[in-house]
Amino acid sequence: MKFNFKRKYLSFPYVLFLILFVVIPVLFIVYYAFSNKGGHLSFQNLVKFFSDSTNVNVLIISFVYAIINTVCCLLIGYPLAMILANKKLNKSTVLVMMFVMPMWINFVIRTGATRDLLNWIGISTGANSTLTTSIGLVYNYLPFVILPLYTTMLKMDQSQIEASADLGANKVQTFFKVIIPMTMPGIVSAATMVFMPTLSSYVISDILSEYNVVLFGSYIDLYFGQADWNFGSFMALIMLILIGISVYITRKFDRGEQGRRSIW
Amino acid sequence: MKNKITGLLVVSSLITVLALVSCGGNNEDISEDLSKPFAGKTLTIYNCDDYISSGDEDYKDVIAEFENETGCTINYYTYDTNETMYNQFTLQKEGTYDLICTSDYMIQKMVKEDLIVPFDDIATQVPNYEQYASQAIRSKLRDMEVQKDDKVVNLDSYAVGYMWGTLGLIYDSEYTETIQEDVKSWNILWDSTYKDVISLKNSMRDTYVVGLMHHYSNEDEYFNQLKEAYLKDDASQADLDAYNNYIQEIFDFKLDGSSESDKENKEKIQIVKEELISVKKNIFGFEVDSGKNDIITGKIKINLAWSGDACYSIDTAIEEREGELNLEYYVPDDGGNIWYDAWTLPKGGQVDLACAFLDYLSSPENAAVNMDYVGYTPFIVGDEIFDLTANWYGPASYSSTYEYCYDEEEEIQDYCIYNNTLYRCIQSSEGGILPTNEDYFESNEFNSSEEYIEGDMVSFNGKIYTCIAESTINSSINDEETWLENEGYDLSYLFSGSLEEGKSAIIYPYLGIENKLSCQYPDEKTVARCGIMNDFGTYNDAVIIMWGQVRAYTNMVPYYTLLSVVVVAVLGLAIYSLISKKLSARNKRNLTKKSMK
Repeated sequence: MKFNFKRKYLSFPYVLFLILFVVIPVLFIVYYAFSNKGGHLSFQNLVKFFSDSTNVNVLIISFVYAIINTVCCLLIGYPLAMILANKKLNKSTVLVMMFVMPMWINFVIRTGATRDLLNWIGISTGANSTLTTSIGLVYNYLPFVILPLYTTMLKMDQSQIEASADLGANKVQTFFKVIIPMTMPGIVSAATMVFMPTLSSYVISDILSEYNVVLFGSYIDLYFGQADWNFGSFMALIMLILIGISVYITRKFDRGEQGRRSIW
Repeated sequence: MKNKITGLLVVSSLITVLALVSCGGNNEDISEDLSKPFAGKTLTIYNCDDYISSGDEDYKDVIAEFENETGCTINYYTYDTNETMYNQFTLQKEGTYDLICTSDYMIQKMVKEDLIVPFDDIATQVPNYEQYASQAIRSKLRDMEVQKDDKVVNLDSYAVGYMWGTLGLIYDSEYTETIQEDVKSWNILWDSTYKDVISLKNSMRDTYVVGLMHHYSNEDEYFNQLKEAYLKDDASQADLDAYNNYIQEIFDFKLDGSSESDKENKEKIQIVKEELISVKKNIFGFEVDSGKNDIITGKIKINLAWSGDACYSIDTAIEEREGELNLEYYVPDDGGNIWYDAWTLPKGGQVDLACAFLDYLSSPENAAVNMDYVGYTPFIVGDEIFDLTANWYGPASYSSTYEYCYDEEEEIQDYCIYNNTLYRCIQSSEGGILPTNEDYFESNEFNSSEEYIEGDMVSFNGKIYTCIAESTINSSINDEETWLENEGYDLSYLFSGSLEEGKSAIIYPYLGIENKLSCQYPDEKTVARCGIMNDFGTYNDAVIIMWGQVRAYTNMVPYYTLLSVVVVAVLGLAIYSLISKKLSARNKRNLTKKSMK
């Protein structure tokens, strides 16, 4: 029989990878979430989750931190990206590199250093854990905001900005009516890249708040640490669903992505 | 090659499964010498990180040595917490491990779940342990019971003890003037004087003890009566036992299944929850491993710690910040927790080889090597262990097997007490040389014309004195400002019977190190006020929930407010954009109508 090479064969390694490291683990999570310690089907984790307000509270806390972090990152990152993308202000790429450089170092090590730094300048991580956690989160996720914004701003059509000025718009109007809509894809992807990882982050909050701030990620870890895989998995599933919902919502906003094709 | 594999394993437990397969097929290491008793066999050990002497620096590699002696190959794997061990262990197929070292409550749990098998007869299987384990500590293993298949078994038949210690507070002894008094009660953690300088362990079972003890010491009348009785200088053994029994009663959940017990247990959990929520407001935070360093850098002043780690911190503080920072360890008088780690036989493992290894570990010589490396306190007692302790902490009775050292450059000089006189070594010897031999030893009997500096020790009329003045010459031994009688630290409740004939178990600690000695080897009173934390059994889940609630507890009002503001803002924006879209659509229609006209 003659071997007929088809393009779709090229996708097999990736499909295998996805099945092994994405699909099967998710199935495991689902299995553990809806079974008890004996391995039988059970909805006790569902009942357990909603019968204690602490669980929902932790989720709310995580949401608030994620919102604060996203807003702060955008507020700081947007102007910064504009400056970096402006050829007149920023003549070399060195500045961009400096903002991205922290990402070269593993974030756990970086966070450990941040902890010492904050305590050294007098912001006690134990006494001001809310503040220090927020600082740590913003510091860690800022590069994720700057990069997508920077690239969209580089591609921005300057003639449209000039056109809006020609048509009599002042700088503020130009900014809100022209620049922001043009950079919307960048803003959306920046926001997704910050919001969702923050929801599940826990190392930063653990280290920088001396374990005083408990985000959903570290709450899940607490249960895994006590060998309660079932409840931990259930909460991981909830987080997965929530992240799925936010991805769906952001997709609706994101008009930039077009022409997707199936890998088949 | 083997080391590389082992190193990777520490990093990822996932690879363990794969590596186990590959190690099993790797026959190169196995010695050809079939005369050795276990040639060709493989022993798989699962132990806590950094918990055995592994040949770093000048330490003896215990594992390699055993391999050489018996011809077997050892696969050595490590874990970080008991829970990780449990997860990993239960995922593997039966017979993967031959020997697991884990903590008291976890052994109980594993016995209950039928995961480990008892020793047939420790006395014949592990004779060194039978001979050299301290009876006082081994009795703690006997006290831990498990209900299994209608009968009650104790852990002594399931476990060979390895290391033990207490849970207490390590603190900066000069932080406040009253700290030495304050640390005698758990109330110190609630004391606003120490706000934001205390850290507790991010470990459910350890922090649980704190809440429990704090509640009973403040609320329970009977508890305080017993406490007063045992704290008296002339307290009898009965007083100590009574206190210990009551502490144990407080620690234990009633697992008889009746609804009254159930109610009582749940109340206990509720009590601890409230206690811990209230302590959260006063502390700096929780820590996993950073406490050891934070207390040395001065970030925190008080830390809940295991005695073994506390010894390490005290040591490091002496090495790195001598004169600036003085750390001490204390188990508050209210009571604390005594813990131990022990070796167990998982089901389906090779019992003979495992027992041979345990026997090897339990010889005082090897136990001393491990104690030296790990820094924790072993179950094993005996001359080697005692000599090592004396080497660390201060002069003790002359030991005929110990090699006394003198090295001027390294500032090493060993002392010993012989015939009520203190001797110092002036030339290193092979051991077995009596202190009366003037080539090797010199008497350190008090001589008023000699000059002494702070910390020097002398003997006088059969008593040991320590110089506490900066320097002195022509002083009188009775001058209390200059010479302090060193009463010695009696370890006979642990060591009696295990030492060579005529050797006393008293150590005369060097100046400034008394506290560290009591941290390494707590006295009888400290042990009496420490209870064993049994496995929570069916209440484990309830305690985990309680712990989650404590950890996550915070003032929720700002979060609710912020979230509702955001929700309202988003809704407002959505409505606004909808309306403006409709308006512009209508405008467009109007415009087109106009233009039509």
